[in-house]
Amino acid sequence: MVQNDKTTDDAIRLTLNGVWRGGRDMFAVALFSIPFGIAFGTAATEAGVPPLEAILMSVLTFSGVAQFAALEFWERPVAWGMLAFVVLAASARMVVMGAVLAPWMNALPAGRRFLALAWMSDPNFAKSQPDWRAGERDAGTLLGAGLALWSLWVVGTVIGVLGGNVIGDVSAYGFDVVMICFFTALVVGEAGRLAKITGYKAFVPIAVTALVAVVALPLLPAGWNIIAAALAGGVATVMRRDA
Amino acid sequence: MPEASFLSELPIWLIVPLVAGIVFATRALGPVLMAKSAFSPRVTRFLDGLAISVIVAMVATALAKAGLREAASVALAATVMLTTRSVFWAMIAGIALAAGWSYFLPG
Repeated sequence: MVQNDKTTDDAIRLTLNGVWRGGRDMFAVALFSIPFGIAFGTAATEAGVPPLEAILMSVLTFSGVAQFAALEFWERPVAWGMLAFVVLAASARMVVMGAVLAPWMNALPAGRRFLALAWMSDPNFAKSQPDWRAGERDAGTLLGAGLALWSLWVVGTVIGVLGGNVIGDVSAYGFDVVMICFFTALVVGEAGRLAKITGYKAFVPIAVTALVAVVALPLLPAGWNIIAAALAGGVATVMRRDA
Repeated sequence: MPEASFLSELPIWLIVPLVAGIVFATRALGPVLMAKSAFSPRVTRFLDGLAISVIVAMVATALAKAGLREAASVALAATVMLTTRSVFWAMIAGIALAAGWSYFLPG
């Protein structure tokens, strides 16, 4: 019996169909990229970034954290070394995410692998995990979700650059909690799935991760507490299941 | 210093490709680093744990920096997710609570 193409074909691939499904599934979340893009476009303009450069930064970088951090350095003389370090620190978690996706990505030809990775961000990485475990083998879903987020992020940036502060403070509309609520929902869904398999032990790595993230927050440079906590969670997962 | 003067001569727009290049490098580096690694069951379990841990770490960090409003929104989103199994409605509930909080309890 043919169930669906997710479960009948284990070959890892990147198809247009996957890109479409990924974009469609992420669209509702991606819509909330617009106000954040507007906020970035507005902040870039206020920082003195010319419109073309501000838009190009969103087109080429597609990373809110790194882009907002870069705005702090948009003045002469540019502190190039510090800029590179700050952007690297802000993006270092991507290395960990890429490593998690390695079994998937490394099965693809190099061109398609780096194409999909170029659009990897927090939301589509987070969404890809349950999909991957559910049998998804089309890396196009990661790319499509990333393209949806990226395109609306760029649209928001253009609006912000050209229209200025058109929506004001995004927190007034609750948009500032979109990503954290999205991530929380994914974690709850995944924890529930794991709890059915391993019982209460499923929550041990989650608790370890949260504890390390909070304790390390004031001790490490920005963003590195996430890496430390994720590694601690990974180790806790191995120890839990090997016990 | 010669390096310092050389760097100070660089056009400021080079910030754009520099930032883009660093971010892309971090995106591409993970699979490159893992390319030579054998995916033993232990490594696979570690990566499985890492996957959810990255997300948990981001949520915990955001909550540690945030206030009651954000914590309440996250709590509601988690509750809605538990009851409806819908990521979308969990997200909408969290947003609605945060927006209502901002409106009725400003500052």
